[in-house]
Amino acid sequence: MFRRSSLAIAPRFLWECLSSQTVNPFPAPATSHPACGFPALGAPVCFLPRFTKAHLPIIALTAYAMKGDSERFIAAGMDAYISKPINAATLESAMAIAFYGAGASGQIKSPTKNASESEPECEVSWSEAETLKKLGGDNQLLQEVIEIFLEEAPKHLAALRFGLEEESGDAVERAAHSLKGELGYLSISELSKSALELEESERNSDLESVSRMLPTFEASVWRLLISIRKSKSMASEGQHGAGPTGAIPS
Amino acid sequence: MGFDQPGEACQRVLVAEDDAMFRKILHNWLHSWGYQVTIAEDGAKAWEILQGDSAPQLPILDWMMPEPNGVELCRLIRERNSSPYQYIVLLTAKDDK
Repeated sequence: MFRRSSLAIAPRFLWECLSSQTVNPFPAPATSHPACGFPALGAPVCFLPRFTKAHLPIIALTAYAMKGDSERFIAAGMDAYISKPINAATLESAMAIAFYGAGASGQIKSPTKNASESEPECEVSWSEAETLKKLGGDNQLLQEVIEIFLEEAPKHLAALRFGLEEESGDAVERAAHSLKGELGYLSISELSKSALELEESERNSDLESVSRMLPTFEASVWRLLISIRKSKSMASEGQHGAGPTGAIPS
Repeated sequence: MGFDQPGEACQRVLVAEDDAMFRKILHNWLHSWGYQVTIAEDGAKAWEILQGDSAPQLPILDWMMPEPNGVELCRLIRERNSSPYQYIVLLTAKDDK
């Protein structure tokens, strides 16, 4: 809704898109290696800073997760890479890393992320058992509620970011309010409190504070979403996850 | 959760809530308790439903939703001076108010 996407089928077209004033600054391009030709990727990556004011996140797609590829991706300036065959959850997680620096696990690699680069993130814990209790022990409803949260939370985050960029206080307040309620209901009190702070800052016309708090909040929510997805995936495969109460991995 | 079936005085309930998660929860609970639940995703839709034939007898209104919000919608309902008196439940996450 709030993000643009374009498709390029050859490096030349990709470079034209990235160089175009009409689409610049361009959000996270996902580039294919070696279809594009990995050495050729060096050109756009190296020259991009001339065209963009801010850091341009780049995600690599690769059919080969060869040893040493990670270093090559880092050298080329990639922010994350995903191995083919890709699935929606993996790509979504990689997008989260690229845009918000959210930690992830599994197939997704974030070669440039390290402790010194990341902002301090609040500790997040989620009690599935507590939420289940609120829902009267209805496990099916719990699963449906979680599915809705996984679908809706990214929309709220996008609305929050969009509202901030457009300086729309109402949009910021509404999105923060929704996230506060949902996170609170899921007993994720730390993040619900952060959402409340965002909501209150907007109400006090303090968009500067919203701007300062938002990146850490986004990253924390994405970490949560990734963790819940992973937990659900493991549960559906018949494995045991973190249990009814699990800390969200950094 | 064990609840009696609703009486004839109030069987039809309107849930006006813009948040999908809370819509789902409220719908499930109310439906399982035997109510006929109508859902509106914003205030405008809720107002349209409340003015229709066989309108729900009990509106549950989210305070903060696209206009009219729950409080504004409550005022609109009261301005009608309809009979019998209509009870309204206001739902809010503004727990600091």
